[in-house]
Amino acid sequence: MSPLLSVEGIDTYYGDSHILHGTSLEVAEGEVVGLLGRNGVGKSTTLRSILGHTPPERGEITFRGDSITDLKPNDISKRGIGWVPEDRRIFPALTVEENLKLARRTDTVPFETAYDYFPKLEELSSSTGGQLSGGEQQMLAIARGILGDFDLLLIDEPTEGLAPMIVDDVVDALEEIQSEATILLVEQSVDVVNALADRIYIMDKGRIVAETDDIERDSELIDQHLKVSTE
Amino acid sequence: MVLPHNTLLQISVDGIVQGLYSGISFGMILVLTAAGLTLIFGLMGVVNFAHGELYAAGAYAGFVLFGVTGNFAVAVVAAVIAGFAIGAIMEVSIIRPLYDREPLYQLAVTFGAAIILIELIEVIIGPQSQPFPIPDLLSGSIAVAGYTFGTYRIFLIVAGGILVTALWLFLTKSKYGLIIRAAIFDTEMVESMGYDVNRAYTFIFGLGAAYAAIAGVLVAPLFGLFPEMGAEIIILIFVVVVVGGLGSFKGVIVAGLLIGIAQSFGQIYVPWAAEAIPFVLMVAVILYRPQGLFGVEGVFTE
Repeated sequence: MSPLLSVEGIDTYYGDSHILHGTSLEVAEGEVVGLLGRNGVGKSTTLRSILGHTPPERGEITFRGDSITDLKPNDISKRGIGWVPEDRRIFPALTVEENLKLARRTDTVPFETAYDYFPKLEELSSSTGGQLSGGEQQMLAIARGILGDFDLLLIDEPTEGLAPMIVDDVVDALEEIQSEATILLVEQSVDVVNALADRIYIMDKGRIVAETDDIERDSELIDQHLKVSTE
Repeated sequence: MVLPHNTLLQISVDGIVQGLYSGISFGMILVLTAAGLTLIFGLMGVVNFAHGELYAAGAYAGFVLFGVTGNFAVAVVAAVIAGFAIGAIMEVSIIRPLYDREPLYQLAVTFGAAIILIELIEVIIGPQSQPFPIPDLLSGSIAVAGYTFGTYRIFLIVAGGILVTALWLFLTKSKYGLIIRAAIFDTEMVESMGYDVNRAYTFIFGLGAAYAAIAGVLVAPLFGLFPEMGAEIIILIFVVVVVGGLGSFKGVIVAGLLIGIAQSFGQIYVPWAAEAIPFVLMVAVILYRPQGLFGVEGVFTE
């Protein structure tokens, strides 16, 4: 059976800077796949390439067996790939409710689902995105992804810059979502990936350098490649 | 307008009534024209130097159709269609290829488009001024509380109010308006929600142009038409946008009416300085509130 998402040997540039060097990865339906790596190794660029915002110059990306390499971002989204970006990208002048309405492209997922996952958002429904704290913005970003009814969610550093207590709330919500969704999760925190991912790719200098489905067993390998804290 | 009494106090009250009446009606023309300019700037970051010529194009499209049909409603519809079409074609053909370039390129290309549109009007219609009669239905006057007001200017105030309200409702209450307000802040995120931002750009450019075109055809019965009418008003429109705050819709409404009224009072009480009043206001705003009355660091806001 072909994977839901397949990234095959992509090379992506920002201007003259060569960021991704033949990056390849796969995500099967129902999987939560982690993409671990230090800052600046190309994790977010990998997501941007899949989403069509920074298309690769070489290689191919397929979704449900069809090439999406040359599609525009809105067409890629319509195929069923959603994005919860690194810096949340909440629309600051729109209210929480308006942010959610915009994200709800179809009637498939009831609007209230967002509030079921994050009850606090209902209290804040009339507040503008710019008035929310970092944690509240992250809840809203994830809730937008949920209401989008996507087949695959690309989630980028969901716990970055959040207080430890909020990190726990976000991880709890993602654990709940993962039972019903396919997720490609970019993270720097091994603990978060450990809690959520079925399988993990490790990235360094624009390349996938290791893959594991047992992070406990391969922790030495991960430390060797990532040199990140596992605290 | 007929002054009913002759005391010094009454002249003062008459002046206030006349200043407000003339100022609000002309202010509505400024608001309608500037709304499109600020919307285009807010969403696309493009300062459209040809916006005044879209106002002129609307007036001339209406003039031609009014000449053929004698029906003012048809003339207004013609102005809307012409304005939307020219604006949308401009966006697709000469603006879109330049989004990734520096703003100077957009300034240069829209300035060129303005010259071309003026020349086209001169070639097709002629360089001389043209009268545009006030439609019969709107050519009378209305008496209120002892004052007599021209029906056409009352019509301008009402029509302007309806059009501005419609645009505000569209931007704040419709799903498409939501997409546009979101795209002003983050086009990538909007695209990744499945919406075609390029289509929104074309639509907004067309809509902004259509509003300028409506303003052009509505003002024509008051001042007539001439090929440089767009170039003449665009300076005042830029003043409105700067005073209101670049990209601010609310700012355009307040600043348009404020400048219309201020200029109108100027013409009554200090006619020798009336033309300078909008620019004095602009200088004061730039000095004391550089982002404009409602501007938020250049970002489009409601």
